[in-house]
Amino acid sequence: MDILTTRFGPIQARPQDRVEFPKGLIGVPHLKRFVLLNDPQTPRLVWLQSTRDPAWAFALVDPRSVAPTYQVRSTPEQLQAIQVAESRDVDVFVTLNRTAQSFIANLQAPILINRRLALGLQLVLSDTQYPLRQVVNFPAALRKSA
Amino acid sequence: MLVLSRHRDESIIIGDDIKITVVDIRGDKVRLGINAPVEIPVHRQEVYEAIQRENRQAAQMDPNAAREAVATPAEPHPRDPRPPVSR
Repeated sequence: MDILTTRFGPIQARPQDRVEFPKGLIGVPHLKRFVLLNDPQTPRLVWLQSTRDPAWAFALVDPRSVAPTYQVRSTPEQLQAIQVAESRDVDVFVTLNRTAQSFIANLQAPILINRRLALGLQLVLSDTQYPLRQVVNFPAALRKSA
Repeated sequence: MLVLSRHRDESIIIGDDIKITVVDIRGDKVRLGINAPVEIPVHRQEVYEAIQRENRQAAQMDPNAAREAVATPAEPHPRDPRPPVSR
């Protein structure tokens, strides 16, 4: 599958890299089809690239690299939306962003992906202590492996 | 906008399967109970708008900035062995 991207130029995505978000992302319901791409330079940095809009791509990381005890509490009904029966079948990511001063990660609205069925969902954790804009400090161990 | 008056414990029905009940009223604060199918997400408006803003900004992230973010130094911390999703 050929995809145009503003960041990486034209790319060839494998069928297994595709992810569909049936509801889109929060506040962005029109973008439903994406591919998951490993960053060509930095392991553990993953891109969620829209296949419809070349300019839309989210930088994703493991939330545990930002908050080591990060825990998504979800209901079976929420997981049903991406047909997850077992919570271990789901990959959890958070989006990276930047402000003028620092890098931040969105811990309040994680992205859950069922890799087996290529289905994704952005969840809102209400009533938790996880902030929408958590300043990021990646551990040295992660940096070393990068 | 349709405006309806409701007492405590009274509800309104939207469509066939969304029910909103006034659970409690105290001063200028109203507590609402919402029954909706799971495929209809329900959010506080300010939370929804903040996440929408964040998503729109995050989608513009520059690759080199993202790589730099992952390379920002800090002290290592132990990994949590529990799976990141629970119920």
